[in-house]
Amino acid sequence: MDVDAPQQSEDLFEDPRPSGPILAVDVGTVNTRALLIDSADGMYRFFAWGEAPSTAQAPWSNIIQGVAWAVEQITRTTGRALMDERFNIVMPERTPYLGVDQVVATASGGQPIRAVLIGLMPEFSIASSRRASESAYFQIVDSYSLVDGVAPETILNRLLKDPPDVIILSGGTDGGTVEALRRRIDLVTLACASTDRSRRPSILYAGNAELADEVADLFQEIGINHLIAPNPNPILGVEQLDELRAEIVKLYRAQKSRSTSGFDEINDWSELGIVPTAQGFGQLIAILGVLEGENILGIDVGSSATTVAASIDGESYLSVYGDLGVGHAARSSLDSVRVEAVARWMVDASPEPDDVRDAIWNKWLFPHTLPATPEARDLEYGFAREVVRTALRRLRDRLGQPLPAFQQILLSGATLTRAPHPGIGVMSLLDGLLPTNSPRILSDAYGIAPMLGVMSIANPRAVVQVLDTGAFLEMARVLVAEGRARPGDIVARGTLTRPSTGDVIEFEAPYGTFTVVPLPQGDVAELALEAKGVTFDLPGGRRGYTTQVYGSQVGVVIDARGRPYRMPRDAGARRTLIERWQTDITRREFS
Amino acid sequence: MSIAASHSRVSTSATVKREYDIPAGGLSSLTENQSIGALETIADVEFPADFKMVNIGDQLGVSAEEAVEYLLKRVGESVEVGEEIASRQRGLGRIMVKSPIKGRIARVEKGMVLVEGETEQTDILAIAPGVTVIVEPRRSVVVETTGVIIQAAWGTGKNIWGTLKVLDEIGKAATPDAERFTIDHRGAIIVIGSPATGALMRAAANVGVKALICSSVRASLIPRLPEEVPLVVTQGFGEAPMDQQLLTLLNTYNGREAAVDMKIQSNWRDIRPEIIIPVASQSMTEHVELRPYFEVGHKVRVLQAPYLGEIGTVTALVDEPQELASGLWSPGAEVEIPAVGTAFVAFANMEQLD
Repeated sequence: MDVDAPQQSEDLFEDPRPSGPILAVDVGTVNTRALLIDSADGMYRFFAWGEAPSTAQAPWSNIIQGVAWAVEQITRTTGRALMDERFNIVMPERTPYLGVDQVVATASGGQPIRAVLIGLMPEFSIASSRRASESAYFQIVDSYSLVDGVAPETILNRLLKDPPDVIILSGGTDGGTVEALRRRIDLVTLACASTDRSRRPSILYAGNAELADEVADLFQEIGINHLIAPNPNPILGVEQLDELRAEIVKLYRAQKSRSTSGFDEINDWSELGIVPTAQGFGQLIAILGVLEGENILGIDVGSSATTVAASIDGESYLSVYGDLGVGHAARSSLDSVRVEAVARWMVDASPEPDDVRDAIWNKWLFPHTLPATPEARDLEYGFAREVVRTALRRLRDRLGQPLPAFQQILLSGATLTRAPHPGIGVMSLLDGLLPTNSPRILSDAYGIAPMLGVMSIANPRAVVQVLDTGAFLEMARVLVAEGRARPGDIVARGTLTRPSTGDVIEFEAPYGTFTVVPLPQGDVAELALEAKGVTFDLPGGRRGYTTQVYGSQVGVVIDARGRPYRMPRDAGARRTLIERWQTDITRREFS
Repeated sequence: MSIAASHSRVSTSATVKREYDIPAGGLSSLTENQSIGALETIADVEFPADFKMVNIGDQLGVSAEEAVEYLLKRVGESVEVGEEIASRQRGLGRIMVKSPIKGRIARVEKGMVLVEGETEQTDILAIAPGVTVIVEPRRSVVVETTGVIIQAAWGTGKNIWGTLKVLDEIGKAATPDAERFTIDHRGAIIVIGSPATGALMRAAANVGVKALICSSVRASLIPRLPEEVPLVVTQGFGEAPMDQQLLTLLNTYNGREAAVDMKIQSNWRDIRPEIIIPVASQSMTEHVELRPYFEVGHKVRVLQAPYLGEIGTVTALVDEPQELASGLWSPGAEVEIPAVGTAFVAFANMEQLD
């Protein structure tokens, strides 16, 4: 089991580090974001934010340009200059209008690092290496275990003819037998030593600790760039990925430094160096789990990858799916997502599968584009639903059991957080996840979750305070009705009492629909609910439920569509139903 | 903020610099400022066809360290198939280890011998004529060509040099008629203004068309495209017709020699196939310096429906976000598109054309 227990403890949040402005930057595949956090009245607050296109590719071919544009927007908003004319960061702070004291940086953009995994058993060493490397956006081009039947000579030929950037060599338990692993080491040594120095892969050894010194000496002698990490499977059935991940981040930085202009400069700004965005995201979800004492799910549907992070009963999980995404990875997503499944979500028409496929391939060609027509919008969100659904199915498979109830769900990625209406983002999540409880849905609309995750390593107090001041937007509080009824039957009646205004809003929820009770962001209200023929996962029971709810972009959403809900087979009836759901949750007619 | 997130080139007076990477085992004998023709050799490359691993320690029954003592060949020496590479006296007999292939001993490491098979040779050829401006004999060569460049949307197949023959014109019905190819089209780069279809591609293959430039192609057709006919599409995937300005431009150069440079497209790099038509006599401009912001008067190409692939001119910038028909809000520009009129296009949905 992949267990990455968060390292923070409560006392870390008491860190009395002196306050000073912090610049956080995230270089994504499509967009680069910058965030300024500063203290006011003794509390860290989220001050300003900027976003610009990423510039890793030609014609700029240097990621600093995108960072400079994003930072320029912060300067325009706050009057605080953060970079000089040569794109150097001004640090430490010189005046209240010049410079910052700290920089944290995350990155996910650019060409992934091509990695080959060589190990012994697919379910142990190979699986651990794969999980650890995914979070640093390694593209696993091949993996070889003892049981896959690939002859050593075949492996050798593949390594020599198409050398990867990195080989992760693992296997065995500490103190266990070494013969099989030693043969793999010899094979890798022969391949690397025979490869031209300019193309020679770096090796990360994370196998039986007994061979670690021997391997280090051997690679040193031959001139192979290498790192040694503790065995992630020191004893059978135990997986410890933290230190392996830390070494993988070092490899990530070394490789990116070679391939991405501007990477070194930004890396030098930050005491922690650039951290892969997914790791920052996972770190933040882990911290939220600790802070809230709840099950938290984070899902970031990005252009080039979909990241799922979860904190379940205090244990954290992180998976990065580089083949699932709605832009750069749109084409490869179609290996897992059926175009017919995407087409069923279209409201305005029933497109042919070919039309859906073409649109998704065009999104792959031009990943930064926005849907401009109703058809393109429906397709974009149909696709996003299926990507979410696929990613969560993989998480469920990894856990080996149904997903637990998540009390909070954090959405990230522009597709879900900047939908034409927040209700469309919420509906895409609900259709992809099909929760059966009553979660709070939060939006990482500014894409700052990974930056906050990294910041928590050095300055947890700042992160806690920024979270308290509303770093994430409340998108919706969803109450899911479980049970069966006839469509149109009223399955819930209730009131929402707003102490701030004295208003009491009465509502009822027919089965087969969404019912939305608006409650503005920043407000808090008391919800009382009586159910008929269905149940809700809320405090209370037969006589009714009561709970406190926070205001949000969409409001309180009663999802009385049923679990699992059934969609009509007839295309016209299905379109009508989806259109109605969409209108219910957004409270507006979309053309 | 009117930052142009994407750029591409559609220019009649361009300087095109094409870098040829030389892989390991390759060498260029060119010098700088040397003229080179299309399909002439940039570099010769030799690469081994196969590697074989021989564990002489195991076969001789000795340790990896001892095995070296029994080697009969040194690193770099040639070997024939079945030739002894190591042997050891054992009692009255002798254990022999033979090379499984013809080649050379590439490395000896930890009791194992790596035998590199015979090398195969290949040439890296110039895609278009030009003049070498940078030559690093073992790393790369940069060739500069002047002329017309059109960056298309997508392509598949190998690089092609040939005569451009344009079959469609603006105003004439552009139909994907498979019967339109004749023997005159053999060996030519054919341009049609309509989408590629399966029948069209098969007909092109039957006639011996060298490459096909079409407006678009169904993504579902890609696995069934005939390998022998490289395909370039100018608009994207689907059934969109070719932008009128592009078709007119290609018609201008009907009958000229042209190169189709497919590049290597991937999930991670925004690289497009290019159509290059060398024109030596025109006065050429250097590659236009990057203009990071959209401005009035800029040529742009639209990258989203409903105007996917259309080329237009920015007539006004609209920095205040506008609601698109999809319900999304975005800043953008008023763009004059010849076939459409003036339309509001989000900045994210267009690219700047050099």
